[in-house]
Amino acid sequence: MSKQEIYAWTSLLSSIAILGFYGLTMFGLPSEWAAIENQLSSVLFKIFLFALIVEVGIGILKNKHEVEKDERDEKIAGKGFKNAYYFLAIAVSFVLFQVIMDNIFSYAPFIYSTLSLIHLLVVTLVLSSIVNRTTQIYFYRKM
Amino acid sequence: MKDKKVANNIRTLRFQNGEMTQAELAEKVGVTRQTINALEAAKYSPSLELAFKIAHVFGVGLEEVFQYQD
Repeated sequence: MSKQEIYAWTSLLSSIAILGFYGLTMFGLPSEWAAIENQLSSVLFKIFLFALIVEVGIGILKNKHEVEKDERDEKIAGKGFKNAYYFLAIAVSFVLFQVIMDNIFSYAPFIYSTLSLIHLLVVTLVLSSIVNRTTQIYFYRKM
Repeated sequence: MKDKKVANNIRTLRFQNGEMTQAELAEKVGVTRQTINALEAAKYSPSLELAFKIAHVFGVGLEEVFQYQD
């Protein structure tokens, strides 16, 4: 596994952990699942910490004979960014559509406040990062 | 990046050149060992520059290393 692939895995793990942590902090779980919520927070924090340690460790343990990034890595990164861009463009267009529908047609969208709009955009941003890294991992496994 | 379109003799040429390892070849042409592995498995087609670099390392022409398959 190349360094860039390891970075893709650690970034994917930390993005999932951030998304889960954000969801738990902002929305939480139903009251009957309160015990699970604490355990889940702890697991997500450990995943984030593990990803961070691996990433820092890989950065420190540099092999000066080994190339950090080559043309294959750049090609795969490009595919990841392209898919993330498509996801982000569709998601932002959808959000804008909801806001416009609300203002013009008084249609009741699920974005009912500025806060919900911010939540949606934050989640979209983290999801686009997950799309990027998942695409990269797919192509690292494929080619 | 079409699969199996560009075949190659990298593995054979490595062994004919003093059993060169993938890591050694990777270092000589400035890529990762994983890229050489992907090239040998015909999972990845290299850029023209990388193809020339590999041919240069083995001291042969480009078509002795890579073959385009219709």
